[in-house]
Amino acid sequence: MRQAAVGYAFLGLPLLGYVVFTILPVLGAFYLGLLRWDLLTEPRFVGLDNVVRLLGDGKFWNALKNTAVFCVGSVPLAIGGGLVLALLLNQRLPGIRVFRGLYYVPYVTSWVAVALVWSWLFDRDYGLVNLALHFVGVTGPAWLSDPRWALPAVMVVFAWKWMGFYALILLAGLQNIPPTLYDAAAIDGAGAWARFRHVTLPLLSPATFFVIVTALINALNVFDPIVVMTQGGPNDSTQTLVKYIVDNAFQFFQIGYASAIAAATFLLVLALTLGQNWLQRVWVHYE
Amino acid sequence: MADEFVQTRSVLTSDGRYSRRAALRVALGLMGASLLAACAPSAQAPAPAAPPTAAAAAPAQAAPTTAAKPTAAAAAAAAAPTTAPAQASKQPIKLRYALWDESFLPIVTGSFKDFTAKNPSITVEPEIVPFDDHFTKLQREFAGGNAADVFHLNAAWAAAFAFGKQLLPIEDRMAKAGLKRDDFIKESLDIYDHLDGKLYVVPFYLDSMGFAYNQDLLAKAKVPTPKELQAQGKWDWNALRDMAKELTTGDGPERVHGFLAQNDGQTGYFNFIFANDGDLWNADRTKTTLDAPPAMEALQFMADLILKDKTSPDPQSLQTQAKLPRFYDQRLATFMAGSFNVINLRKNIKDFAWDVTLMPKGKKQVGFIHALAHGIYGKSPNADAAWELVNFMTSPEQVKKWGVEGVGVPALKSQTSAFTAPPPANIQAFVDATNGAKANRQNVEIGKTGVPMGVRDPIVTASRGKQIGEIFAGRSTVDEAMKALATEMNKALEETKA
Repeated sequence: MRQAAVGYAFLGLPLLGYVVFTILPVLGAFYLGLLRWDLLTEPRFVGLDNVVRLLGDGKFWNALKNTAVFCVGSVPLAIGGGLVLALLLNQRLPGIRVFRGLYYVPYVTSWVAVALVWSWLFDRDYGLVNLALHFVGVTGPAWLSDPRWALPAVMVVFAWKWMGFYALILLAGLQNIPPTLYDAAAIDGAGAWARFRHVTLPLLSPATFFVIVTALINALNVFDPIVVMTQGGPNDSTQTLVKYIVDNAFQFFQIGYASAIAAATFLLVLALTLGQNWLQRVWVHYE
Repeated sequence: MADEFVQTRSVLTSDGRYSRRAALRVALGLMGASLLAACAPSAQAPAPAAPPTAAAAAPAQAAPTTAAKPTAAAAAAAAAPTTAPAQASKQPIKLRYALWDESFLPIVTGSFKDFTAKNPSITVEPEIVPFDDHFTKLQREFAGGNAADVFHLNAAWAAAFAFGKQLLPIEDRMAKAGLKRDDFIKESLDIYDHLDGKLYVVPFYLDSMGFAYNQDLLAKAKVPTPKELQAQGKWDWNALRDMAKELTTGDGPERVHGFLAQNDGQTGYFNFIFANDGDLWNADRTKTTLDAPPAMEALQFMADLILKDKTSPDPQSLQTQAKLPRFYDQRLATFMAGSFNVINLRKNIKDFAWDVTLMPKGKKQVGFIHALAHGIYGKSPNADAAWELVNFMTSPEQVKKWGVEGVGVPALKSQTSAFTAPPPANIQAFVDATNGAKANRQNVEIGKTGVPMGVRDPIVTASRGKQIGEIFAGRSTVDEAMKALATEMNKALEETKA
């Protein structure tokens, strides 16, 4: 009985922090979405006006579209890259630990530093990306100034930064696969690719599931590289949901409208995550 | 499993020193204490702190940078002194003075020292917040009810804050203190006169725009200097265009550009629009006039320099090397310089001769002007002391420091000469540029809505930058971009009506 009380006490304190600093503000945001407030004058209750405005706002749909495209582009890239890295890092080679550390470094580096350096790499005239392309005979575009290429550029940086983290998780998943299964498969005549498809992937699915859910949430909330590299431009081609929220709240003094967009984003992410949760019974094997 | 559990337990208790229960109690106590410590500051301003935190924390995984700022505002609110106003200046008062430019610190702390020498019971604490955050921080502090007593303002925000009734009206105090409107450069007051024709802020220095040029490069190209052209009455836009062509040489990395047409209001297109007898808004500020011929011609002129003549770098290449480094490297022969550039130009130009003059004359000799002002928090508990400080800092002795240090043209007519010590030789041009100069006036009442431009300025600035960027990148014609911009701006005006 006493142990239970102690257990609850331990649970209670962080839970209190979570409720006060996360749950309550989220509820607060939903409430603020019903107001019209510019932080300078008194807030006004406008009910669902902000929702109506949101539905008719071309810029919101543009931000949503850009965010969707960003997810579709960067998530497979990040996870695919992470998987390749995990497979490579899973080898029993001397000094492999050094590589594991190195590939993790982008994840722990500040976003501002990463984004700045990549901005230079993507420079049209002097950047290394275009220099490399030049060597294979391709004239690279002005990446961050071209409405067609700015978002792909940010996708690459985003995937590059998260790859190490996903690789780490997938590596842990890989190392939990009993090697005896591989031996059994080899005895049954399975080649490397067949082993990968029928042993590795299914047994890796719990880790993959976690990575996909996390990667999708991260991609939907992309903000830091946008702010540093493109500021939402050029021509709103990299304007994403969170950037649009921040612009509306802190640049345009539309706290109510920004909160409405934030609430909508929250519901979207929640819906997608719940959907994935439901889907896991289809493809995730917890053997 | 059960065996292991028992084994672990017996290991600890047999040790004798730390029983599990004691360790648990200590850990619980520490957690509780740390949570209480974290919660304590926000206890002082929970309600106001919550809405900004809510807006920032709402996305499932909040952007970390924005989440940090509301907490900082709550902490600042907790740390602010709340001493009662001292009627007889006997009780010690500490004033909070918020500014955004670190380089101003030597000037203002010098003024604070002189001020405290005259008013021993009042000390002044400077608070520096970088420009991007300075005004949003003030906004949050207003919402929380505890803002700095005195702060630096620019035109857009002064209008917004005055409209939000956050500023102390100072017109009467000025009269009592003997500060006359006539003492100030008229253009600086024009920027800041509020809706009711009264002043809510006191300007202290002006930024004006001039034209800087590399004398050595001009001599090498055997081109008459703008000053010579001016004397002949020939320093106009065509002269600028020809000069830029003469000065543009080389190719690729060796290219030297003659002029810079910049996608920026203050240092770029505002000047050309005003000089072409255009404006940004119509008389009652209900519609933008950026799609009217004067503005479109001005933008076309700038676009031609970039796209047709190629005498100006395009926006993308500016990201590789910015304007001032280019000028120092002699890769840019001339540019629109502000009085605020003088300090850096003096410091960094070592190996060539340079000078400034008025910008080329369009239909009129009119450029862009701006002024910084002091505002006082309307709900400050130390309003009288704050006014004393502002009054002191606007006195001739203090105001001239801005000129002496080369920061800008002092706002008092009597002190403008403080700015005109060379280099450059013709620095007087910046003072002359203030005559008749126009600003992006935020403070004019908008017809029936009564909401000043200041509140909508960020939205329209964002749209403007975007569309003009499309013109200068060659992806859109002036016509298309300005029509699209006018639609966006007028829509923003509609949507953000009170």
